[in-house]
Amino acid sequence: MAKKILVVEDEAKLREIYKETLTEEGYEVVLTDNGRKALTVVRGARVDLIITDIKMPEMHGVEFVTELRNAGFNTPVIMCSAYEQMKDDFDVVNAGIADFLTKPVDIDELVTKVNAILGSPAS
Amino acid sequence: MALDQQTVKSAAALAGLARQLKQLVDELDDIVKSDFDRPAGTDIRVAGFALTERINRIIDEARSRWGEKMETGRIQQETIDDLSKSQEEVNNLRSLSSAIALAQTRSEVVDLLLNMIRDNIVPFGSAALYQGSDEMGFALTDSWEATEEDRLEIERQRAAGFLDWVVKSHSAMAMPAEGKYPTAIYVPMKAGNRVTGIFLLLSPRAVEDFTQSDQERISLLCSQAAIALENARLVEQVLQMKQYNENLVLSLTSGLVAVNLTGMVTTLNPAGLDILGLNAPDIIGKSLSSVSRLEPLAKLLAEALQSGGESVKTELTFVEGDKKQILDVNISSVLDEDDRVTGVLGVFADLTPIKLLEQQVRRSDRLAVVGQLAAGAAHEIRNPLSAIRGNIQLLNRKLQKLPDGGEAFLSRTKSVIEEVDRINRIVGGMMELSKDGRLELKRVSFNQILRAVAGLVEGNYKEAGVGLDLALDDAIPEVMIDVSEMKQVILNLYQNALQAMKTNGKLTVYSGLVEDAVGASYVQVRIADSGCGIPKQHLEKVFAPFFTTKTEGTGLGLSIVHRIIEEHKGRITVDSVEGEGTTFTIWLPPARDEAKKEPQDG
Repeated sequence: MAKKILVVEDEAKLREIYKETLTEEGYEVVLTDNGRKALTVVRGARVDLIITDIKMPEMHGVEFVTELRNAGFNTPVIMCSAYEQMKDDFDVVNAGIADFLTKPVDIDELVTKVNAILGSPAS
Repeated sequence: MALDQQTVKSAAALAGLARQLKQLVDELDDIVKSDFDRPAGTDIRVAGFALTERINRIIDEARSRWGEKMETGRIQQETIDDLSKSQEEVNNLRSLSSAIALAQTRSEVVDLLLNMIRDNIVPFGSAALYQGSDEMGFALTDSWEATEEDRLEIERQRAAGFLDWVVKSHSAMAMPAEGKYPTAIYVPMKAGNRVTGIFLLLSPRAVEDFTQSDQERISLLCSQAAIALENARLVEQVLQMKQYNENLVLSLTSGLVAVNLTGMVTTLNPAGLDILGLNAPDIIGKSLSSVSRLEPLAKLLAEALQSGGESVKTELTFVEGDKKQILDVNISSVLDEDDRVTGVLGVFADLTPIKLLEQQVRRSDRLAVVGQLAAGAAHEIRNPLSAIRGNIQLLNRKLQKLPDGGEAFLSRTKSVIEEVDRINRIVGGMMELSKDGRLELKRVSFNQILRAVAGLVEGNYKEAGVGLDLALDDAIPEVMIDVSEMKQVILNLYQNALQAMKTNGKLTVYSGLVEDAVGASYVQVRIADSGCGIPKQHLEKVFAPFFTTKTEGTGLGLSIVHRIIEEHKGRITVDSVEGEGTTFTIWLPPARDEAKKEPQDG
C-alpha cells in the first residue's frame, strides 16, 4: 500500500502538478484547497505526509499546522511559500515542520525532500 | 611795544647827556670859583653863581624828569619780558593742549599728559591714577613706574585723606610725602564740573617750590586731558558699536548683500561671498550683473530699486554649465533716518542642499512604495511561476520517456525553466526591496565585511585579470550593522565594479574616519573602480529601482544597496567619470560608546 500525502494548496494548477509528480513517484495523493478542509481529511484517514501552502483562504498554513499539532497529530509537514523569509519568521522547529519549499517549486527538489522524509513510497 | 623801547633808549641817551652837562657845569663852577675868588671879580662871581644855580636847577629838573622816565622804561621792559614769557608759556600750553585733544585713546591721552607735566611743569618719579566719581568713591586704577616704596607712599597718601580734599576743591595741590620723594602732587581731572579722576605724582621737587603758576598750568592741561579722555571714551564706544554691527554681519550664516541707488554692491558678508562663490575684491564696488551667473539676483535687486525698495521673497536659480544653485532670497529696502530709500538689501540662503535632500526623500518614498507594491505582486507572481515551472518540469520528464529522449525539445524546455528562474530572481529582488528593515545589528569593524566579501569575489577578479586592492584603515571605529545585509551590499558593489572593468582594471577599497561639515564623525568606505564609468545623465538614476544598463541585470541591485544603507542610518553616493571609473562612497555612523560593553562577536 502506497504512502499517503495530503497536499493543501489553493492554486488548482499547482495542486495538479504536485499530484502528477508524486503519483508518478508512487505515492497516493489527496488534495484540498485550505487548512480547514485539510484538518477534516487528517481526522478521517491516515496521512503520512502533509505538503501545505501558507497563504490560503479560510485557514492559512501556519494556523492549520498549529491546529493539527493541538489536535495531537504529529504528521510530518513540508511548508511551501513564495516568501523566502517565512522560513525564518515561522518557528519551524517548534511547529514540528519537517522541511520548507520556496516557490516556484522545483519538482525535483520536491521529490527529493518527500523521499527523504518518507523513505520510500511503499509503506 | 617797539616805540616804547625807543623811548627808553632816548631817555637813557638824554640822561647820559645830562650827566655830561652836569660835569661841564661842575667844571665851570670850579673855574668861576678860582677866577672869581679874587676881590675884583665879586660881581661876576655872584652872576656866575646865579648862572650855575640856574643851570643846576635845569639839569636837576631834566635829570629827575628823565631819570623817572628811565625808571618807567625799565619797568616797562620787565613787564614786556614777563608778558612775552607768559605768551611763550601760553603758546606752549596751547600746543600741549592741542596735542592732548588730538590723542584718540585713553592710554595716549594719559601718556601725553604725564609726559607734558614732567617735561614742562614739574618733574616726578612715579604716578598713580584714581578713577571714579564723587558718589561712588575713587579707586586706584593705574600706576606708572611705581616701585614698592612708591606704592606704599601712594597707599599712605590715600589713607591721609588728601584725595577727598582734592575731589572737593577741584584744584591741584602739593603735599609733603615720605619715602624717596619729598612731595606728592595731586592733580584732579575734571569733565565739566565733575572730578572723574585724580593723578597722584610723586615729585623730587620740594613742596614750597610748587608754585601757584605750576598749579594753574597743571590744572589747565588736566582739564584739557579730561575732555580728551571723555572723547576717547566716546570714540571707543562708537568703535565698539561699529565693531559689534560689523560682527553681526560677519557672523550671519545667511548671505547678506546691499547695493546703493546705482546698483553698486556696498556690502557682501563672508557667508554671502561663500554662497555666491565670490571674492570680495571681485564684487565690492561693482554691479552684481558683472558676474553673468548672478544675473537673476542683479535683476531682482534692480527691480526692487525701481519699485522704491518693495519687499520681495522669492527663490532664484543660478545655472552655470550643469551646476544648479537654488537660493531663497528676501529683498528689503535700506532707509536713511528720514525714511528715504538709499539702497536695497538682500538676505539669502543656499537651498541647494535642502532641495537635494528633498530629492533624496522623494526617491526614498518612491522606493518604499515600489517595495510594498513589489512585495504584494511578488507572491502573486510566484504562484503562476510555480505552475509554469512545474508543468515544464513534468513535460521534461515526459519528453525524456520518448524513444529519442525528447532531444529536439529539451533545449526549449530548459530555456523556459531558465527564463522562469530569471523572472523569479527579479521577483526576489523586489521582495528584498520591501523588507521592513528589521536588522540584526552587531558591533563589528566594517573592514571585516570588506575583507570577507573580497575573499568571496577574489576568484572572479583573478579570472577576469582585474586587481583588487584593500587600503583599509584599521583604526576606524566599529559600526552597528546587520552583517549579512551589509555583505550583500558590498558583494553587489564588488560585482558591479567587476562587470564595469575590463582586463587590467583595478578595484581599490578604502576605509577611514571622516567628519562632515558640522563635525559629526562617520566611517567612510570608498569603492573605486577603473571601469567604464557611468554617463552623467544616468548618475542620478543608479539607485532607482529597475534602472539598469546591463542586459542581464534586474535593475534592483543598487536600489537594495541604497535601502540597506539607509536602514543603517547611513548614506551612499556615487561619483563617476566616463571612461575613468566610478566610486561609490558609503558613510555610516560609528557605534556609540555605550554599546562597547556588549559582548562582541568575533
